[in-house]
Amino acid sequence: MLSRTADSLYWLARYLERAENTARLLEVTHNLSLMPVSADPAAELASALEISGGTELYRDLHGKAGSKPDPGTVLHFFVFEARNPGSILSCLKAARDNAHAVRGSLTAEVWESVNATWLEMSRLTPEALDDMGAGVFFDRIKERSHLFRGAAYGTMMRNDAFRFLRLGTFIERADNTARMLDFKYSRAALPGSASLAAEYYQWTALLRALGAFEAYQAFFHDRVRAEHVAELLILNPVVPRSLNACLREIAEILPQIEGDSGRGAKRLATELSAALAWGEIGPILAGGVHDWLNEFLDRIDRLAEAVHGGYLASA
Amino acid sequence: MKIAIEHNTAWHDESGARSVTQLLRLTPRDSARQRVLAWDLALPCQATRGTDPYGNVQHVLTLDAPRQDVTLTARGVVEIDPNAEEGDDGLNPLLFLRTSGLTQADGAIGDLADNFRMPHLSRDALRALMMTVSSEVKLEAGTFSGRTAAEALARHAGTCHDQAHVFLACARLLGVPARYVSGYVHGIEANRVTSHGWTEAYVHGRWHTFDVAYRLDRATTHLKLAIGMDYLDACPVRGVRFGRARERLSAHTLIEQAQQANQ
Amino acid sequence: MSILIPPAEGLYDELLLASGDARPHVKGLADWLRKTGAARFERKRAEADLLFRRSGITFSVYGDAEGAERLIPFDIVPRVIPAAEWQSLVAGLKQRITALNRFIHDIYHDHEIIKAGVIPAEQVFANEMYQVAMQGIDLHRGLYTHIGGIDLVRNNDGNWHVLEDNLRTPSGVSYMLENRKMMMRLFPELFARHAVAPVDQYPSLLLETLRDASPVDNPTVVVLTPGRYNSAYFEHAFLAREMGVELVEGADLFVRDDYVWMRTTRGPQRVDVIYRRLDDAFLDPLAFRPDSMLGVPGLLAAYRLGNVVITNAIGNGVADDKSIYPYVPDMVRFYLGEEPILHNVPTWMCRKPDDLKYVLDHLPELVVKETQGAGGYGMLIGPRATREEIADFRKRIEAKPEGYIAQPTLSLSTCPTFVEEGIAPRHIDLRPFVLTGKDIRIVPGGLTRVALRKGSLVVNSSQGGGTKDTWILEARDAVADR
Repeated sequence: MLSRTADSLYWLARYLERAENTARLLEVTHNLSLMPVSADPAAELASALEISGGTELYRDLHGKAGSKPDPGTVLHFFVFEARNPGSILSCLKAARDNAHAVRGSLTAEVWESVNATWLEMSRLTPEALDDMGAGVFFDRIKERSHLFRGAAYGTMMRNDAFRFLRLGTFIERADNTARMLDFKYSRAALPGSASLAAEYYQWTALLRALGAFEAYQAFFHDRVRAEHVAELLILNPVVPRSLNACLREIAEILPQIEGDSGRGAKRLATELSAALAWGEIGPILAGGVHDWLNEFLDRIDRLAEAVHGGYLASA
Repeated sequence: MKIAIEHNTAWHDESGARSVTQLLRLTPRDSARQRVLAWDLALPCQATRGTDPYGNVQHVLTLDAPRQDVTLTARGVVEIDPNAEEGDDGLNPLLFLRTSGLTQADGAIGDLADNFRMPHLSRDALRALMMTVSSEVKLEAGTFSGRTAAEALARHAGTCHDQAHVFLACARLLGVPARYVSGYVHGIEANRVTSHGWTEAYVHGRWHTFDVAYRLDRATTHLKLAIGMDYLDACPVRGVRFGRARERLSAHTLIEQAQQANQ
Repeated sequence: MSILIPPAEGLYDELLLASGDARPHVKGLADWLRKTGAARFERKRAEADLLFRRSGITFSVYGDAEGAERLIPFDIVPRVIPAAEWQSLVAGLKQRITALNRFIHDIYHDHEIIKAGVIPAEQVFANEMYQVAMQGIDLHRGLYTHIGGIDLVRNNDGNWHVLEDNLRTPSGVSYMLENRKMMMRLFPELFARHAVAPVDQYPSLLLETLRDASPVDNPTVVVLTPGRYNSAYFEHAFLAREMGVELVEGADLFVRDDYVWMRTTRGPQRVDVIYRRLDDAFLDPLAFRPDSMLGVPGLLAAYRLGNVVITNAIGNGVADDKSIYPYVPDMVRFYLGEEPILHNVPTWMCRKPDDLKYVLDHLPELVVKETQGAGGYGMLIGPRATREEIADFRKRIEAKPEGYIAQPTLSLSTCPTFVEEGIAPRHIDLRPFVLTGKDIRIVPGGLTRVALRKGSLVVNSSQGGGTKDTWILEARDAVADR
């Protein structure tokens, strides 16, 4: 397959996954900011900015440092802002552009799902978003993302085109889960940070955002504790957004790609996947979750670089 | 007379380009006027040697993961007969009636050329044209600007390359085959060799040199490297680099510095 | 009641005789057109629109912010050519393309035709499209035009004329294929009743032709496109898919050690044949336009060494230029020693003083064309022009006579076409595609373009033209009809 084609497929999937993740992140922070237990609604919004790495850009666009973000403005920044490359609309546009470039490698169903999502969302106005309510909008984004993955899974041949799509999805997803977990962890670790109730809301919100709340209950039958959440989202092999689950997929996909390229990527993925498959939570907690996650993010970065160098930009 | 040349081309590249491809026309050929006694190219890596469509010696140089600083050196000794004119190089003169990107005429160039329109243009008429171009486009020092002939005439100033392009555009409009020459001259300004661009026009059944910058209607200490329709065809170094993120191509012609030389 | 509107007087109609009766070979089709009601045609046309859109066969105007795509109107009434007539066209096309290939080889080698005084040297060497880079280069099989598109028209006397040769990157073949698929889907009953020669073997013949162009065993072939914002991108993607080869952009290719490679997920892969849909000027930024972002740096050097085949060859433009067109019949005589089977449209060359005088005296009757223009822009259609337009053109011709040719105004033949007023006669042309490899292959069919506006002679899709399915009847059918 042409490197350019693989590159577009890979980024198509990454951008769609990113749009979905942004919707999930917003949903959580948005809900939290509306909750009575939240001592500081603005802080919740600020956290969304930080996780996504958008704080600086937001400040450049919307006023002075230290001023508290306004919920409406933050929502607009994450949904519509064309100057924010991480906004849902920017991601959907980038995904659609990539899909357009490799339309010949996609089935009609996959193309239609991506194109229709972009056409629908690009017509959305802030007023219409208000009318439908943010919650409905987030659901809509998640739904479109499910539709894309379903269409890909259900209609595409199991060839390299399919594999590069899946690769993009899981690399983006692992990166996102690690970022969100790390952020909540470092906040919860602040001394005297919040009441028990507030902490409970924080952790359940994260679990819900990552679609892992029910899994938590099934595995732990316990009140929500930080270390359990970490174990679930890092090591659990069956929770679809856990790091272990994502890396297992990546390590499985890479060797299936035709040819002998990407040895570095294969090695990194196998190492990382093994570390997660056979890892235990004790040492991770002992060494500090934050440090562990930071190292993980580094390794995912290196893996993404290796995928780029090995397949997407050959020669 | 013998001329010794050392021509260094250096550039500094911070683009982080993944690969750079360079086309080099830095090797002179023997002709009626010049005999190459010694010539050597020092390049950062192996280059393939070939001949381009106009018969110029050409090297294609591909640098992977290029360094930020690259230097090319051409060095050699050439014997020149200052009184000889060029012989026939086998190319059909009619080819040089076509126009090219940099020598496209516009209304102003047409008006300029019209002053010289007559049934059979003589060498004298071309000399007059050369003098007119030289006064219409004031000579500036410097490297090639990227301007077209029309743009240079509109500015009424330009480098030797610009002047040559204006002359070529006019000559071709008048039905006279004319071509661009790149190379070196020695000792016209001070006692040294400089990189230079001039022209040749086909009249009375043979090629004649017209050097607009120095207002010369014959070659003197001119050492020829390459010929072509315009600067881009004949320039010593032409390159394209591949950008990093998405293989965006950006063409650039390199800044060259002709250095030093003595006899 | 029939919605079939009879042809205008004095024009040649492909379906109907002046009497209003059908021509013998299309009797069945005419009966069917008479019997079928407008409502059914309307329904079928809507269905075709929907199908074209759904299958992505929108000949698109990419670059539109929303990716809106436009359909080039498809007309559901086919144009039909009887077997015998097609056979003589095929013989003429083969003869013409052979002579043109010989001509291009000649002008880049020994210049025999110039030495013989058949074509003036400056017409060739001073032509903007002449590529010095091709001089002395020996191409495999001596072939320059592997894929040619020859535009033909039928005049009101029923005779065929060549309007234009397209030897660079002729397009439109995807319409030929898709229009046929659509017709078979919409009106299968018609194909049961007529012996229409198939066209769907075109992609495999094209691939064979491209492979024939390379001296390498089992060569790797790619289609080079300027990218998805090009108006013909659909066709590039379509042909690559149908042939099962990669569709590449310039940045997918690179030159190393004088060979061409493509970047793939398995590492670099050698490329042997490039079917380019990109003009000469954009192929190599090191050799041609330095600002071209579409080409491959170093490609020309690799090509000149014979390490890669480019189809069609570089420098063909000199042979399909309007200033060379008048000489094509002479080329046939010169290279082949035969009389041309296909006729040119009579052409006056304004560079010749006598011709110039005639043209200037008869501007209101003539079509005047720029020699180096395409797409119907730098053109004067005398009978339709205002007095000012004619005066303006006169000045332009006088200023640069060698830049113009003139031809009589042709009355293109008409073909019934489904338009608002019913099934009414509209002017058409025909572009068959000629493939040249080991031998010459012509798929029985072509692109029929139709001027949808009443009376219009301009069939270009950019100026309101549509397309039709083109039927070549197989011989047995012609026999059965008698």
